Amino acid sequence: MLRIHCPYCQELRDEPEFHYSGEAHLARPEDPASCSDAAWGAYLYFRRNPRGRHHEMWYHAAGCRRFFNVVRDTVTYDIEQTYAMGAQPVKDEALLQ
Amino acid sequence: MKQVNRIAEGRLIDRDVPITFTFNGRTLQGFRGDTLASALLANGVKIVGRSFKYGRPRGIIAAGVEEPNAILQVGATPSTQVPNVRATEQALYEGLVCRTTNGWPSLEWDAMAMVGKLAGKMMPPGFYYKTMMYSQPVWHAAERVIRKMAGLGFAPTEPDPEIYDKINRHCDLLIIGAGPAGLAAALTAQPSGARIIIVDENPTPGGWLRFSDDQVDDAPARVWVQATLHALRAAANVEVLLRSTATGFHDGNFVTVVERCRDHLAPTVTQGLARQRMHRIRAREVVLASGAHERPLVYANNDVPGCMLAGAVSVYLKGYGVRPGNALVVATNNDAGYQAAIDWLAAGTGSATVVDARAAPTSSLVTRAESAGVVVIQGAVVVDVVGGASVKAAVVCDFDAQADARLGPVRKLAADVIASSGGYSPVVHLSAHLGHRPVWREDVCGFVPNPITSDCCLLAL
Repeated sequence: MLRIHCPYCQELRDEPEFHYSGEAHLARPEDPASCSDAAWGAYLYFRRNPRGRHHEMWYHAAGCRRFFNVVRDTVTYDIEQTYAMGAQPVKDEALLQ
Repeated sequence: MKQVNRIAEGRLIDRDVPITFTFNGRTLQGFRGDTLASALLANGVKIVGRSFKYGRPRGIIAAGVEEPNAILQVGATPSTQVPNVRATEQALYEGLVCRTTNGWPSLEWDAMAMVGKLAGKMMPPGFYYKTMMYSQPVWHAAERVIRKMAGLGFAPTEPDPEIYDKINRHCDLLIIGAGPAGLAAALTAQPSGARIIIVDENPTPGGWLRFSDDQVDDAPARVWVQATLHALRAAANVEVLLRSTATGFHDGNFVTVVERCRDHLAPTVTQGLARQRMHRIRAREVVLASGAHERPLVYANNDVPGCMLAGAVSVYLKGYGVRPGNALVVATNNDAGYQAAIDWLAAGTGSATVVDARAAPTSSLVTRAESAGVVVIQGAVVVDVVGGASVKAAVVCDFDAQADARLGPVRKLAADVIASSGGYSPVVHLSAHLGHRPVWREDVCGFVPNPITSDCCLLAL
């Protein structure tokens, strides 16, 4: 069971309080009506699904009920950092190794 | 009731408190501190089960959680039945009722064994119950018999009156295993003031030090273990959980530990006291000090009752004062096997022979064994066992380790116990729960845990 630090509540809480919400930093096409089917399909369905570091969204369902971002290793499940919606992850060369 | 295999020593038992128990309807006696397995061995019980397909007789092999054969049904009443209890883990209590779960019409005279002997040539993989499944009328008739053959115990038919508790715990350091490594880790960490929980599956801490004659800090190992336990119990920041098995290692150092609070006591409707308690421990750091299990050696018919692990023979001799026979043959490929032979002769009359696959081992244990009167045969291996229901003799053959080949004719050594030691395998199970594959280490000839995360530390023994 993971323990996740919510950047809004500023607390380390147990995983059952959260919901996983998929990959983070997906840019929605500016004008969906005019973008190609391929681009729209890629936005809707295609994910990186990496083995290793993964940027993803979580929802603090039983807490502040807000979305935030998590950088998690999909192999070891180690959570590297969490940060608020709209923010960028801390670029730490040591962490990226 | 005479305990034919009981000898004078026995560090874990209290000879002043005899305990009566029942095995397959026979009333037997053991002592307080015995496990069910040690009490059965003390009473000369050899067969404790039958193999699944051929009904081959099976005896007690090990002395701990690694026991594969002595799996019994424990419980006197319909509501207190516990299936699949390892006899090596069940403490003896007054009035314990246990029986074997296979063997029909009886454990000693098993019909499947005849099928296995007679029809084994025609059905090399044994009997397939699926043969009967595709005709409904046949299946309904066959099912009752097949269930009897297949069963490893049966579920209780009435509700369990006992209480099973659970508790969420938090600590800075969780140490799994209270052997020498775990105790040393706890002693080292204690002055820091960190909240420490140390768990061990046995009723007493110390691991293999309990059966060792070695010295730790200029004191006998057992004295050191007792002093350490006393010091840890006296510290406010340390909790020692005994009879507690870490059963699961989950993400974020979340470890489930099952404490068998009252499994060693006779089942009663307890006054608000839990029989077992699940500790769900969230630890900042974890030390895995879960030790190692001995590997058996491979030879023909090595499942005949009387074939045991060398380390287990030492445990039964020194811990429980049980010598399960008179003539011992040790098959080994390392120094550890010699200790069992030394312990065997130290426990009284009888003979002990070590058959070592190595041509010329050089170790102080070898010379100690020889001076203790152990017959040492080097450059030879046990290749077969004479005997069906129990070991009668070991078949020994010279062996060329370089060519990996048997040399010359075989000869027989009379024996009623064959102890084998093929080295030790670290207990990697918990470390593998998070999906990390163990890695081979040439110097220990075994798989060792892969370092898991930055906040989990691994110790060998």
